[in-house]
Amino acid sequence: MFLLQKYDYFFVFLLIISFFSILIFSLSKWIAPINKGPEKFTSYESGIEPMGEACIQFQIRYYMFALVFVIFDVETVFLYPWAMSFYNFGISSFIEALIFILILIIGLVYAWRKGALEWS
Amino acid sequence: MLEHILTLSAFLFCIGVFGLITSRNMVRALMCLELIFNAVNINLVAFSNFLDSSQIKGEIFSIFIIAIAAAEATIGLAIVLAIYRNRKSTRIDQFNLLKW
Amino acid sequence: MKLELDMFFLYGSTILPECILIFSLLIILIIDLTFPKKDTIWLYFISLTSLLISIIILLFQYKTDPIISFLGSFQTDSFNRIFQSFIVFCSILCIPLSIEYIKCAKMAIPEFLIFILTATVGGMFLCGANDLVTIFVSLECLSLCSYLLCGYTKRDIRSNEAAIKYLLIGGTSSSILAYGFSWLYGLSGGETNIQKITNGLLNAETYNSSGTFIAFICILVGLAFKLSLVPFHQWTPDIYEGSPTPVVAFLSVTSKIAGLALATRILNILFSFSPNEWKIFLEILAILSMILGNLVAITQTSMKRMLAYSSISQIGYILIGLITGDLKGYTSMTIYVFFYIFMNLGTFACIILYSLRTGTDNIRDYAGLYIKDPLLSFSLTLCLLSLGGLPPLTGFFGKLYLFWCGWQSGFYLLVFIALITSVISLYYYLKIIKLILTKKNNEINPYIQAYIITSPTFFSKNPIEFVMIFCVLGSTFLGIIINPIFSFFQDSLSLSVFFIK
Repeated sequence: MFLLQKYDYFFVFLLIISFFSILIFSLSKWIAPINKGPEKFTSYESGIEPMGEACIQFQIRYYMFALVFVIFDVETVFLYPWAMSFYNFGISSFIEALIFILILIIGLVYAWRKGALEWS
Repeated sequence: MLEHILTLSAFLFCIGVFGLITSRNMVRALMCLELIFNAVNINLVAFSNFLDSSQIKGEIFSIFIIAIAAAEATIGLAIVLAIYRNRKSTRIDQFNLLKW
Repeated sequence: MKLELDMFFLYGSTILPECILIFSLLIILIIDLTFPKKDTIWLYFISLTSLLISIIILLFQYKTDPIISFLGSFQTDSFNRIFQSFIVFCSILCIPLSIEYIKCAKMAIPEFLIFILTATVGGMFLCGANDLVTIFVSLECLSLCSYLLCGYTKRDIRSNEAAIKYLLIGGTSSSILAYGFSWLYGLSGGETNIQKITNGLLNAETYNSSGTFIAFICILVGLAFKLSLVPFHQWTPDIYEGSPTPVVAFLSVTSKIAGLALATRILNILFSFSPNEWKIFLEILAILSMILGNLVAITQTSMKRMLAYSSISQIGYILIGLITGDLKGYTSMTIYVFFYIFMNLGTFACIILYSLRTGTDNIRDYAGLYIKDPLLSFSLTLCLLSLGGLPPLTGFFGKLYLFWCGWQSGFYLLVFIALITSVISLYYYLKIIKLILTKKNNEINPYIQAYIITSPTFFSKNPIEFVMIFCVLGSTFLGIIINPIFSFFQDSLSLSVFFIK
């Protein structure tokens, strides 16, 4: 605590917050009536009757979409530094970024033609 | 201040290596690999903030590391999928076909 | 800072061979997407043509002065040119090796070619990378493609297992390498260019600190994983055994060459302030890999596993040249790498041919092969003897130069152990040869019985046999002309960045 002088406020807040959370939970436990029944143990699905188990297996399709998404999602990160300094670089960097996007598009077309984006 | 960040990244690195050695599930091993890459990223961003705030080469490096880690994780998950299709399990300790 | 982004037109010629390969792999991808009808001959033709063009360009430019291009992230000199042309040469030899295997295993062809070409491009960039970012990205470009190639037969559980093991271990090693890089970046005061890092470390006087030592250990461990030196070699036999055989042939040479070029550059340029330190570490690793690789190879029963351990020991021999550190040492290292391509690819061509016709990799199933196919058994014998280093063959001359350079520079222990272990290696190579040549009467094993005899005419031979004969000729007769080769490599290496101070 002596090393991090800037963090004094943070630790004060941490203390207050932990105190409050303990206080509120113990209050609700003390005040609230205790009922036991089968309804208590079902999972909460926004008030509707729960359907099926809580641990279900997802469709494998989601997995394929996720794989394709992760790649293209991360590649766009490279466009942010380029966009931030677009005016410093001029037209040649624009062409280079176009080539970069073109290669990404070829990849997307590849995924599409090979059926990675089909649901059925 | 820099020492704390470096300590944090060293801890993350150690947790990642420990997890890679001990984990039984393949997806968990991939997550530990990501932990190590994140330790590297923390190191790079911290150094670039403290030493190289004009050119921020470290942050650029960390962007590249993020992209490559994502590609590696994707390939890993695709191989996990192929393995799961073939033998209905993703546990590392059941891989014992290749031994001396 | 003003960035010159249209520098491509100035420095374009330095990466022209790589650009040709990238362009051709995009063309293959587009052809695969637009034409549903598979006309695979064209795909092979395009890839082989682009590889040929790029190796011709490399050979025309092999004597260049060191040029640093692309804001210091890429360096071209004669050392890189030689190693890049080795990598392209390996790919040219490996694509014909895999044609028939792919056909038999019913794998997709365009993706295979794309992965091979991408791995080649990654290895070529790795040879010339001059920047921590470039090193990391091109290293991963090479290794990600290798993981995919290892798991290319998706239905085969062994191939899957090899791929996931390779991925986990390769990912670990490259992340450890990246951790070392991040420490170097910090300790040098925010530099990523490897020459500037050395200057930064010297200026900040942090080159003796414990942080630099941690970075050095991390980088050394990462490199040793890539080169499969002994305490970090456990992945090699598993991957060699599980992966498809043409892929193993490709990986066993390409990733070794690229890793060797990377190690030479990093250790010589980045850690040029403490040459004695890294030489001691490398010496220990080389001795361990020579001893353990050769001893464990004796007990193996699978041919591919045996070759894996023998490749571990071969990298130990190659490291002698790197440890020696002078012009002659580097020249003999380069020559041995060049010969190693022929010997190793020749052996793998024989194994691929045999396993395609019989479907087995076990050593004991080779018994009595001589009766059925004299050509195959003869070339396998020559390649194995050359790997072991028997006198009139090529491998002997390569080893002779390596050991002689090491002895002259005073690494007596290293050379002594190398000599003893190469005698041990001759034992297990000769064991296989004895098995092939001896004929056990009335007891031919079923694999040999099922062996299909090839047609004797010359033109109906398949591409594997051409590559096999080519490699056998190389690994038999190249040793005779070693003196011109030596002076050729010495001339061009003396122009490289390590010797122009």
